Amino acid sequence: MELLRKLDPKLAEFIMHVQIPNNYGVLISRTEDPVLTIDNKIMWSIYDPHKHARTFVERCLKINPPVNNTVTVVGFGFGYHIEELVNRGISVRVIEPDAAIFRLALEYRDLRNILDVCDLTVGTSMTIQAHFGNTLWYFYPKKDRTIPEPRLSAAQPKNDASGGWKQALSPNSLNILVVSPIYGGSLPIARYCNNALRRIGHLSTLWDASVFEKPFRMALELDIDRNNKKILCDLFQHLVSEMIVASCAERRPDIVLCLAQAPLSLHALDRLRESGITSAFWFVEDFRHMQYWKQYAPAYDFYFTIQKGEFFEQLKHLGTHNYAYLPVAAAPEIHKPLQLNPDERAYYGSDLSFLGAGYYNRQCMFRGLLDFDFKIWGTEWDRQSILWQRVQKNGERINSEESVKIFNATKININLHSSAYYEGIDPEGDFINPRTFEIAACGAFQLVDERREIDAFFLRNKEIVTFSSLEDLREKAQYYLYHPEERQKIARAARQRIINEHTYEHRMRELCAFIFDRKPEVYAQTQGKKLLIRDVNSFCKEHPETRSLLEEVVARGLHPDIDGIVTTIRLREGEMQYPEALFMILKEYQTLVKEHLW
Amino acid sequence: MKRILVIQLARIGDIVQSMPMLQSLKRHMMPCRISMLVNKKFADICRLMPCLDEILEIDFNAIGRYFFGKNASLEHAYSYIKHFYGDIQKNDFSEVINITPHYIGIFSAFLTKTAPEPKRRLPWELFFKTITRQWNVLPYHLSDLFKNIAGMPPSPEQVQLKINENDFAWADNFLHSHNMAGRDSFLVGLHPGASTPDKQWPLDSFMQLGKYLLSDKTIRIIVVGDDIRSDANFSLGVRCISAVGKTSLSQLAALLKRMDVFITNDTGPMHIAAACGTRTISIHMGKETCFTTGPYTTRGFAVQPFLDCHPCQYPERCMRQICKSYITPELLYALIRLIRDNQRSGEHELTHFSDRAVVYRGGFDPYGFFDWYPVTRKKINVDALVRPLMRILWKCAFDNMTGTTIPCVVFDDALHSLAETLGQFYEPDPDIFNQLSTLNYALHEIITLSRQGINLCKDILRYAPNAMRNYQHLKQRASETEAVDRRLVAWRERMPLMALLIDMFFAERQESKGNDITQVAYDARYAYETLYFRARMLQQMCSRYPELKQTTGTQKHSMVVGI
Repeated sequence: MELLRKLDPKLAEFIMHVQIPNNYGVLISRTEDPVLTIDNKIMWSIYDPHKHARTFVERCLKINPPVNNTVTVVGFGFGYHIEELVNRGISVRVIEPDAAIFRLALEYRDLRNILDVCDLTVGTSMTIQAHFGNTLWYFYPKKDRTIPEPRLSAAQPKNDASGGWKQALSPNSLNILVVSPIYGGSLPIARYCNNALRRIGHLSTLWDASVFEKPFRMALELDIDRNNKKILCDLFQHLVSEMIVASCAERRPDIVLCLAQAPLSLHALDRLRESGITSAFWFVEDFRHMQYWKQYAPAYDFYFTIQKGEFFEQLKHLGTHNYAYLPVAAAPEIHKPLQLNPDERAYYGSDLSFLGAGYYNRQCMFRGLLDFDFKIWGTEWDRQSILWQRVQKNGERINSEESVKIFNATKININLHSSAYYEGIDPEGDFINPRTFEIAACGAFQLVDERREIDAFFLRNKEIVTFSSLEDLREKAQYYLYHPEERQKIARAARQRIINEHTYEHRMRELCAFIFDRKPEVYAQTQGKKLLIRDVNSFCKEHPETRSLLEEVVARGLHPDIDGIVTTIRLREGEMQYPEALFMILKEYQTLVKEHLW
Repeated sequence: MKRILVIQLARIGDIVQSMPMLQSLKRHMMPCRISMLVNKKFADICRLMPCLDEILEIDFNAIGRYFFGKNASLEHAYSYIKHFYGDIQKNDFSEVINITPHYIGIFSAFLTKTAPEPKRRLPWELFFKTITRQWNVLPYHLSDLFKNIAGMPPSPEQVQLKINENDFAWADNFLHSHNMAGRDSFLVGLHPGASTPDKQWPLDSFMQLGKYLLSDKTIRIIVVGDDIRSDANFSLGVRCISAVGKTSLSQLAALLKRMDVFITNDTGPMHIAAACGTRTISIHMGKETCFTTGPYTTRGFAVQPFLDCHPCQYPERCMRQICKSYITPELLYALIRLIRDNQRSGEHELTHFSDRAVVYRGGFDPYGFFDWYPVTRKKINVDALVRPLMRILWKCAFDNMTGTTIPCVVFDDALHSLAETLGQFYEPDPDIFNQLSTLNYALHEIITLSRQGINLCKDILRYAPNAMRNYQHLKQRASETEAVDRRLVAWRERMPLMALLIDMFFAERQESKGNDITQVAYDARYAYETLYFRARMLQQMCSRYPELKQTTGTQKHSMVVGI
């Protein structure tokens, strides 16, 4: 760690604050070297880690030899393979997406020989970017998160013509169309995804289907035969679906990312596939409650879920190929600590509050909280129920802005995951709802019901507090109401965890990495668009007629790729010059060849 | 000797449709040497064209590799293109004719030119650029459009591909080895494939037609094309063989030449068959229409669905695709029998199908423009009337170079010839007057709007010398001009027949090279005046239809161009 402080103080500071998840562990091998375990799975040889490293490196060298004696390795692990490479005199660039693994490696191994000779990036999912660099080796035992099984493989570089991965990191890497549902809980998530994709450098556009909410609800509320209504709704969905396909035909996105209940028909998906557009779906709902996914899951190229285990079995059975676990997250630009004025604090604040729809289990359990200063916000609460007196704003829908104020103003936010069957906590509950992340991102305190996956995201009692029954909830609520410092400490830690690991930017990086991993040609096509003139000066020496044009491209802050050059030509005035026409025709040829129109 | 470069970077069909233009060039520009720039992939078909002296091939696949291949490199792509066009420029062509419906053609023309463009072709180039956005309003056959672009006068051209003896020998051997070469046998070629699904008549319909044909013992069927699916699925017995994927382009041409009839979707082989002189029956569905891309041959029949939505504007998105079911195997079988037995009386049989599909025969109008005429008499409609009028309008407007007037003699002559021709193939229909009245109203509005535009531009020109002082006036006139333009756009949408007229107006407006307000206003006024005169001409022509009516329908029903 001291060496790291000298080499990269910022990284050292970052690593110092990384929490080690409970499911990460260390075993000692027969050669008395430490070996990483995740969920009790051993990630490297328990017999002889150094020998394993030798065979691994030899195999990788054979499959994928280094270019210019340099390799990029995704996955640091405990660094045995990196050590082996360094010993062989090979320059190494390492990307470790999981900062917790790197921290463990620092704690258990002496890495002085490695750290001062290799180029290290820690803490972000850089797989995509890495593939645009030199020879790439892929060692990425990333738990059971986005990639369903730990992987150990060597992969070919997909494109090494761009002159280094940093250039490939230029903005607008992918053209993505995010399709929102007409209404529902995943609507704001679509917006968060779109913003996150933009922030991580993609050219993302939101296809906001929510503009159709009013006419769609009108169709739903028509007083007509049920079957006719269904036909009408199907036709409506078909119209919206056609509009989405038409947009795709115009914009030619690389990926269409649909959020749960996005109105895209199976026929439309077929046509997207025929057009060579990759489709992805993020099913941010409970697979046990919804059934439509069975029909749609195999039709998408990529399917992301917030549940795994049994759900994965069913997806596999249905013939869905590329599915992966991708939990929801928070959007810190929206979900953030706020300074509320006294009026707002009085209006939105209370000792306990709940924000969400009036599901059956909530109706049952919250009856036991009526002796607290307890406010309920949200829709679908029973007006006849005794709880109605606690429902705020006459049971209207609460927008994102107000929800952040509520989270901030409340001393203890109750977060009870929904269930239509159970009277209290769902014993089968596995996934974590967006509210958990959102409350945490606001720096607010929450009591959340017991969920199977909670430990993968937060440290129990340090970053989050759970309850297992009404009695438990009451007891903990009482305790934390009288211990505000503890509340604030836990809330701060939870927020830090969110910022470090659970934002939509993290999720979108993981989603893109998974798509790239399974279908690298999506990026390869984009790279085609991004061919650069690597050395402008030597190019201008060879083709002096291009000098003024390329100088102007650079002066405008554009990349000297075909798009940057064509943009500059379009901005220029006067008669077209010969080199300009050459670049313009190149652009036209590129489009023709790409679309096979000749 | 003149050196002419023709840029044709489209697919096989368009290349073959360039032949009438090349033939006409060769005849009118004698002595000349004609070179053609083509995609290397389709260069083989050019070798069969007798009018071509040189073929320049650009390798699209190589360019593709520079962009998407393993060693993709923008530097290499630039060097390749620079040297390629640099070499062409060294040929010092005296004339460059671009007939590629794409920006690639425009840039290629720019990059290969050494001399300035002859003035007469400029309006046609603009017309070509405008029409590529909406082929379905083109009043000319594509071959005639190419001739117009090249500055050639309309004239009936009979084109013929030059097939060498080896290819004929291969075709004869192929037929012989499959017992297809009997003296009494009637060889029918089928081409079920197409480049896009919307152009494709269903395979089941082709199969059904094949079964009908094989009920006649003397008929033999050869399936051609390069779509393996049609080959695999086409097994109708020993009298039906497949040459799919077995021929080069020149061998295909030789084989097509040996056929008695060739039944095909709107594809490249259709044009090759037509250029071989083979009798063709082409099926045009989706966005394809015989009037623009049908086979350029008087030995051709074209079948089209009788539907308001044809030609389709959105073929890729159409969910109904009923145009495919409107053309039945029974109709085509009746047509083949008609051709085979050469029985004029058989035309009555075709009328059974006339409510769903129309059979056209290729021919030339009195001016020498290629057109399609219904085999069975059909009620006249405004499309059939306006299409030939538009041909005359554009030809006179561009080639007379007055830009605004057509000599009266041409005008009357045109109308008279039109009346005669229409009378032979169409029945009078009282509803045409309602349609003409709607058209007349639209033209009247366009004329009014263009007058307003002219006056506004005049005002702008008046205020322009003291622009600072008259800023408010100028601003008001400019916004009024925009309002006029918006209303013109609205008419374009309401009356698709007028789309080309209005699009050409906007295209000419965009051509304005002016930097100052005076020049812009001057160019705009010229564009409004041009629109005004064109709309008036068309209005006058349409208003003379009652006179045409006197002659329409009085003629005997006979073909202008026989088989």
